[in-house]
Amino acid sequence: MEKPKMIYLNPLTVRIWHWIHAIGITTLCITGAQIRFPEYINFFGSYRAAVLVHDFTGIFVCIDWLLWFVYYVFIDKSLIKLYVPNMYDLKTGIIKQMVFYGFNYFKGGPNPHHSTPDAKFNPMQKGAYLMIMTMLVPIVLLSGLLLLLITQKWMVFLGGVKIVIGLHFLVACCFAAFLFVHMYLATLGHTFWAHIITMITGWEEEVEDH
Amino acid sequence: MVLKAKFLIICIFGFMMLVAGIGISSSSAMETDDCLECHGDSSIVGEYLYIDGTQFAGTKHAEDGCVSCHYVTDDHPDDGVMPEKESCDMCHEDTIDELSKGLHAGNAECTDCHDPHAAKGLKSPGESCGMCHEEAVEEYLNSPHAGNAVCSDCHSPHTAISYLETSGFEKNKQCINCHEGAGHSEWLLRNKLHMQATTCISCHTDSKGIVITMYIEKREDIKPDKEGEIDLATYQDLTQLVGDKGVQSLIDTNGDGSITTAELKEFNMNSKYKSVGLWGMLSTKTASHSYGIFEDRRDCSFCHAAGPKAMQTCYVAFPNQDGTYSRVAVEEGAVLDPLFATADFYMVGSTRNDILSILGLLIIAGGLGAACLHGTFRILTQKNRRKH
Repeated sequence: MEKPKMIYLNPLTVRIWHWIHAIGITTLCITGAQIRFPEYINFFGSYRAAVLVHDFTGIFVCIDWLLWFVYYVFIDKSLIKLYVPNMYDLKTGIIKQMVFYGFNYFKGGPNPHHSTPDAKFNPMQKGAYLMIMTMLVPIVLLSGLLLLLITQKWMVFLGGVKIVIGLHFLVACCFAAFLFVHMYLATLGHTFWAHIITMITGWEEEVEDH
Repeated sequence: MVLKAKFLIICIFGFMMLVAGIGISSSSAMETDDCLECHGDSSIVGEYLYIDGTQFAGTKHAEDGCVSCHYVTDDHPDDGVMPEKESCDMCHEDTIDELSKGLHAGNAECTDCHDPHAAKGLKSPGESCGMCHEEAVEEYLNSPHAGNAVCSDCHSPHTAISYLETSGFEKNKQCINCHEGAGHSEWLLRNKLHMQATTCISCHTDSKGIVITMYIEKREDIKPDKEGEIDLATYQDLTQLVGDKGVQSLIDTNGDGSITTAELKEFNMNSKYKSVGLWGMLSTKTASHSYGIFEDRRDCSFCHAAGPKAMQTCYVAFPNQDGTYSRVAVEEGAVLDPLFATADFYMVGSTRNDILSILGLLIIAGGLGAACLHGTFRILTQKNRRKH
């Protein structure tokens, strides 16, 4: 039996920040839910514990995001190549990918995108990750830091604590929604576990379309 | 003969002068010791007029002597004239002036609280304040605080103002006088914020019911070293903003004596008033003197898990010219407005906005729903993929 061809898709650095992000954002969502709805949700025993875990995890994810940014912009210099959709992606790539997930996948059609180390993400992923990593994550982290430090000058400048907290909450809800979609899409590889194993080992089995 | 007559006139004049001199000196010559000869013995004057000479000797009043307050003639008590009642304002004019402006004016006299013949001067809480504030004193005396402070350590009886007319910051100052640097930071998260947004008595008395009072703070020129400090606007500051319309017109624009959510929004979004803003503070509905440390207050959920329905009673406190505050009730639910009604007051868990919560939950449901929907079709079309 011929051994499947393997490609090294995710280096160790990428896998580390990915899992820190994954655990961090999940923890932030759960603790955040307890902080906002304490009379209904209690995962961490006490309210104080939930706030403490939320604070420390938030700071940890901030540092992790900074590492991600520095790695992709200054060390690997691949932020634009990997994350920014090119003209092909915008004109036809995104539509092809949407058609695949919406129709062709169910018919058993091939995935129009094949991951390589230089093009890890399909056009839909590129758009989503670019928005998440360069807009939503900074918004939720900065608003969280403001709420942690409660600096009156900045709060007044931004229109009050309620604007900051409203923004923080709604963006956090977007992350919770993203987590469900992301976890589900991670199972859409050629096998249920294929993408998940790749994010653990770094290696992905190359699947040839017949 | 003429010499004799002159001598007689001189003798008569001298005698008259002597008598007059004795008379003059006799009306002011009564010394404290003379008074105490009788008033220091209760068997002579009775309990009511008895003065403990030893105690009195330790007072500042002893230096002035009894007659400086109780004017009597040298013939007292044989002259049958009752000595005049003591008049404190002869020496304590400023204090009497203060008293006349406070709640105690007309309700209490100096001697109701002070014993001018005793070394410390102040009567015990039970004998002074307790005469009128019996319930409060009884509550206080049963609290662990009782052995450590008397009423006047926190309340100034001369400038007595009501609980509702005192700002939360002023209330806290009384506690800070003794409890400066109280060790909350060891366990309380966002310690400074809690200290600025909560009155000490909200947690340290067993008062039931919490209200939110919004104070008007100055927001101009926040210096870096003052970052996070609350600087309340005075009556004069606000008068400069609204002119002679009255400081309440700053927010209560229709002057109906209550504040609506719309009026709060209008105030917060009015660029003319950007130099001031509202700072919310938790306080108790009523005053209680049952001071202590209540363990359940260490559980954040005591306040934060109360749910939005608990935090409905809100007031705006406007400064008066004399430094007191007048509260104006705010429409129920204003604190739960998502953005602009109380833009700078938010208690996590307790003042969340339901519309925002529903919107957030819909976003999450959207993500979960999309995954579930796709997953359902995925299961239903499994055969198609096996073929390929």
